[in-house]
Amino acid sequence: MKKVYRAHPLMVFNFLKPFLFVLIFPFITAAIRYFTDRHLTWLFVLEMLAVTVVILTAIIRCIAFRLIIEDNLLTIKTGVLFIRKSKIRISRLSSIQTEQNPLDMLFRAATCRINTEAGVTRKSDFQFKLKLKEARELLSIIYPDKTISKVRFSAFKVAIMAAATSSAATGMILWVPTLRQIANLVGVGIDRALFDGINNITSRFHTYFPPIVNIVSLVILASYAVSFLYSFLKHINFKVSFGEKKIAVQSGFFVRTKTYFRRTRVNNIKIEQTPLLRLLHRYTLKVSVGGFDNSKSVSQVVVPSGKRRKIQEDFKEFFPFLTHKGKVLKPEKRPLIQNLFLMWPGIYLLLMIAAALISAYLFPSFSRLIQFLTIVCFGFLIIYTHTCLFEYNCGSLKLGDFVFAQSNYFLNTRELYCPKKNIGQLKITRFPMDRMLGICRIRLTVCSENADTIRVRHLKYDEAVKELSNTFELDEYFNTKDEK
Amino acid sequence: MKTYIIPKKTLTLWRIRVVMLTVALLGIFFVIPLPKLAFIIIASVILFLSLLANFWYLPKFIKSCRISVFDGKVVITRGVLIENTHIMPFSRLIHSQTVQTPLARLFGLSILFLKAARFRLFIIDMSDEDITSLIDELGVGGK
Repeated sequence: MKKVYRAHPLMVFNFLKPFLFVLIFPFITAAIRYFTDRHLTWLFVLEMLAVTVVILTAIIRCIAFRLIIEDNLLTIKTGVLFIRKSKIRISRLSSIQTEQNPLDMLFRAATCRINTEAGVTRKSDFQFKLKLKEARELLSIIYPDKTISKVRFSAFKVAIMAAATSSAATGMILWVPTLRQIANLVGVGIDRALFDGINNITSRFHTYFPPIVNIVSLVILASYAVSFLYSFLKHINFKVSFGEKKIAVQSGFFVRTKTYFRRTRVNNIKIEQTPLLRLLHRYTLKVSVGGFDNSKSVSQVVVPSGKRRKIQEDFKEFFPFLTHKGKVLKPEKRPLIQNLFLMWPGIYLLLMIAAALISAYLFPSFSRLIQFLTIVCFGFLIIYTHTCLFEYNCGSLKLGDFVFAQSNYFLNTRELYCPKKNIGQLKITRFPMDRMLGICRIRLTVCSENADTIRVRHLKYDEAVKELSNTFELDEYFNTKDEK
Repeated sequence: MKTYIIPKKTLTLWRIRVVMLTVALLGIFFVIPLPKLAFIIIASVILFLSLLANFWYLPKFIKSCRISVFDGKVVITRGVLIENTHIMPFSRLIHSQTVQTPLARLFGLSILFLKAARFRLFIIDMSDEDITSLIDELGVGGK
């Protein structure tokens, strides 16, 4: 059966988006100025011509768009002069995402994003707008199986995840460019007013530390709040639905997103814990789906916050590789190996003390600021040391048909599960010291667009080689290498 | 199991490259107006590193390189101070790429890159015949 879909008229705005700040808004400003001054300039006429051409092109492109489904084949046709026709087998699709912002909800439209493994990272392969009814029909044709079970996560759990995964840096990335754009557009010194506001607030607090510390702390806290709010609103109303073959993840408040993918398209699963989640004994479950999402990451959160045992019990039915049996490789439990794990925190501690002492000696007027910075660095060092100890106590690698690895990833802890066939690369590294002690480090990289990776350190080399030989049938290679 | 060994001419090629780099660096420091003592110290360090690379590191590195192709995977071991073993299943390989510099062309050598999603493995200069044979084994098309 052949089905043809046309674009929703709102898609015109998608085509106009790149011209918004460079052409449309300057034209609107110029138009307002013309109506107030009644003075026609050549620049305004040129702008008007350019805007007309851009709008007409967008309308024609929108009319020309076609999405055709026929015999398990998806055809996407775009362009007028330069016609592009893309044909994708439905079985080769990685995921489909639908998104509805308030404007879409008002006009009953939905943005659809189609992803495949061949796509460019950080960009969805195809993006278009359809009527909501048609978007739902499209999803029911591509993922026809019915929903078996549904899990809904409370706002509290989402808030825990948002609090634990938000960072001041993300907040700054979000609000600084937006504020600058608005300030440029409106022509008001918003940034200056904000700076004065921050100064006013912080001048009311008198602490042992210099005023700059208060300013920086306030900016960091504000940025963290922005990041938290963004993450919370993005993940609120979190629902996961399971079908026989499909998984659908739904979330969002103002902008509602729904992502569909087949279970077989899941490359690997990650159970992660940020330092804050570690305090609360909670974990986040993420799945990595090939060619997924239009954002930086190709990981989809499936459980925002939950207990590890419960996560494993709930999901092992859907992902058989989430269970692991057999021999697990772990770092040897002896003081020398433990010291190896604590070597870098020790080096960083010495470097930090040296840097603090030298800077306090060279810049005595900034001693209080140096004290503050040293306390902050010390806090990070404590978290890092705890993570290294976690790696010593819990670091493990299990090879076989289902692969499992547990270690740390920066300041977070990570458990990675995947089928053997999804392993992209295994790298064994041995430093001179490792050769002396008969140990090695193994880095496992999953073959996906995200290339999730995990490194397990200081495993016994002989045991690791034996396990690798058994899993990948490499006896011949390692035997001849030893002989050599 | 099929094992590929890096040919001796690869060592000659890399020795030539190191000598060329040494001459270029010495030339740069010769042109820059530096005090005589500073130039002598820098030149000595460069010459020492060059000799070290030519007569100790490169022969050891080339000797340590071992490329083996099994049924379904390629295993590469290399490294002098830090020993690395890479295991890559064929099924995850997307494409292969060979790179040949004019100097390498004179020796009939090329570098091979094996590309999987988001990471790649490189194999130091091998003879063109070996590379063709390796690519055929991997089943990722021609050069």
